[in-house]
Amino acid sequence: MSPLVLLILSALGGLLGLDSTGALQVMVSRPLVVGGITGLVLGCLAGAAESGAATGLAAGGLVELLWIGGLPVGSVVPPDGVSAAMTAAAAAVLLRNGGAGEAAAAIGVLASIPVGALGARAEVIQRLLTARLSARAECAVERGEAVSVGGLLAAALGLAWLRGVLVCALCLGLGIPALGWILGHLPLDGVRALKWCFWLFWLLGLAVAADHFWERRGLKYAAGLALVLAILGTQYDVSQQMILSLAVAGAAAAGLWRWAHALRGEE
Amino acid sequence: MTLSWEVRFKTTLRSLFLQGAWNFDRMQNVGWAFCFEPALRALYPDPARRAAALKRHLELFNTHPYMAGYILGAALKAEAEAAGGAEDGEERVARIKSSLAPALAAVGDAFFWATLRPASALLGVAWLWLAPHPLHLAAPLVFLAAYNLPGLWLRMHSIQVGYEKGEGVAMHVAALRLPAATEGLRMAALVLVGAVAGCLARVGHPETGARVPIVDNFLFLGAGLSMLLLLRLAVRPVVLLVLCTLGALILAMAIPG
Repeated sequence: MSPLVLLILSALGGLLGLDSTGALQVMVSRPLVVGGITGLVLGCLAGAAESGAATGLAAGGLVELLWIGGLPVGSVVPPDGVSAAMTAAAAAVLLRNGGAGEAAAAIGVLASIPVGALGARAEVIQRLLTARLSARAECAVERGEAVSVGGLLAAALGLAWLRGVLVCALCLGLGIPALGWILGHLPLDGVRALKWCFWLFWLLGLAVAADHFWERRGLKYAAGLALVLAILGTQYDVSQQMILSLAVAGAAAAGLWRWAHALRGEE
Repeated sequence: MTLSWEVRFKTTLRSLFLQGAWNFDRMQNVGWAFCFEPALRALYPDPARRAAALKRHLELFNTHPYMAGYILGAALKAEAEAAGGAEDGEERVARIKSSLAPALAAVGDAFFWATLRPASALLGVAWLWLAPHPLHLAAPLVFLAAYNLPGLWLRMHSIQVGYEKGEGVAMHVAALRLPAATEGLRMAALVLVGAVAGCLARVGHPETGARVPIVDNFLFLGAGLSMLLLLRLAVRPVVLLVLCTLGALILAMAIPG
């Protein structure tokens, strides 16, 4: 990765990271979106935008599922999804040469775990520094001095952006070459294992999501639809549109039924 | 005294930055004061009174950022009445903040953070795997639309509702019946998980088109159910991630390629 690309991605990571807490919170900081954007940027630079975006989305989507239960409730700081998804997507796109697509994505996802934890640690430090800014402003108000709350907020956002940039730069700058070296020195059996891991991680991601939404009554519907779609998908020549329609219609019907049931219960 | 539409609109836009200076000591205090600044300018032309009001609004505050609009609206109304000389006006502002913030935080956390966001993300992931190519690349847009349509609608109109209803805004939020919607969304999301799991073996990797290298679909689903069982037994996902990697390595060494 060239220094210019590293700079662009880090600046972008800092910007997207603002969305996670400080600004807007429209969820462009979620791993699914960050993975897609990272893949698109790297794909565009390599002249393969579509395949880059798809690879980035696969890695980002996987990180999204694995951390689906991380909630920013109260003062809890969940793992940093931006730096984690960016690292996973960049590894998946940049290290996929030689038919090692799934292996590169899997090693990227494995690396995203410590990266996310490092990002969360950095955010804790940033919030402690922001507390100092807030305390200074309160002291100034006590003394009767004029305080620009907008300026204070801008400074705090600047601090958050800088934190995001530094974490992304560190993880991409050091992490991607290190992962490339590991992947290059793995025996063939290791690469094969990582390819399997990619699919096992998807299963784990879905299990994490099922655990998050766990409801005993819903399990039989979920299992039933899984079975029907698995049979339809493998035993019959059913189109992709039909599969998608069945999945969405099944989920919507179950959700509406449960919603109506809950409304009746409230009454 | 009343606050103009323009001031309320500015407050609404500023509420998108409520957590801009979130800190462990006073949490959303700076963001709250930032949202209130246009109202304070309009209500207190005297700098000394304005500074005193700003000091009150720099006190600790924390709630769910999406539900904060209701509290902001109700507090704006109370602040306007306080500026107009209403008795116990300042206490009412403090009371609104302290009573509504925890209650609405609980509702917002359960609906937006714990349900709508993961359910929308799951819809995006399902779209990525199940939509025909190249429509599958729109997965992030599907996620963002599913999440932000209700989210932004609530954020854009909640300050106005809070301003109109005042302290009675809690009744309005209760009438939205978000807990019932939460239950419905959770059920839909769980069924969607099943749908994606059932299809995963067939559809292939979004970019390479590679199929799941485990031939038997039902063995694949069985492995997923085992992972779910372990998660229900409180095994952490990170532990399972490591176990999956180790298991795959051992299998790869045992089975000749």
